[in-house]
Amino acid sequence: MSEGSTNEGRSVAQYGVLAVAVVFAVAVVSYFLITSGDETASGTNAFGGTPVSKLPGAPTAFPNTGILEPNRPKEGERAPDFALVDARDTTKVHKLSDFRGKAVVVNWFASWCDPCKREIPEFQRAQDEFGEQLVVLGVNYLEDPAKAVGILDKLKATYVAVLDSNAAVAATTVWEEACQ
Amino acid sequence: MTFFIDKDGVLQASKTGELTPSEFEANLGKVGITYKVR
Repeated sequence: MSEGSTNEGRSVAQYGVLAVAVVFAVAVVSYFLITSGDETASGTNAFGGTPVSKLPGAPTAFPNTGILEPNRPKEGERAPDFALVDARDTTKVHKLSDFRGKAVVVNWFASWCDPCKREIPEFQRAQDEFGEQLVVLGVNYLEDPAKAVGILDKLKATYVAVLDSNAAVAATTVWEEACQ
Repeated sequence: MTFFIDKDGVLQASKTGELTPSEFEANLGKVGITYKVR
């Protein structure tokens, strides 16, 4: 074997090792990015205390969303702020505090929730009647935009809706106890 | 779960489970909205 072909063989081997190293590094970084998302869901829940976002198949949170003030809401006190993406346009983020100055009805819903389906048309009627004075804010629980918007469209609801895609906000409410 | 928050951002009422029409009216009243369920 000539010296040239030996060098060529070594060079190919080096590129091979480099390629494997790059693939491994990308895999490791991806794993940590996927598994180390914001974990604001804490405390007890319907899943034995396991944060919903850590359950197998749990959806991931959108960036820059979740609880902004991690206290549970109490009557007579300022409602804790949160930020969630718009269900109809996931490039938009709404904060609860954006609606200060208007009365706000925050309602958790899901496409599988029958009581929700009975409530939604009445919420829309109130929204239509009071316009700018009132904000009905639908918060979808753990569903993708298609399902969330699908049930609203089916019920002809046009009020603002956001996605609690990993239940980070629901974990600070009693929602998980509410729709068992 | 439904929360009723007034224009100052204060939580005035909450309801776990399905709202009845009278609860909806009463809780909207707590946030300054006079509404009658049809």
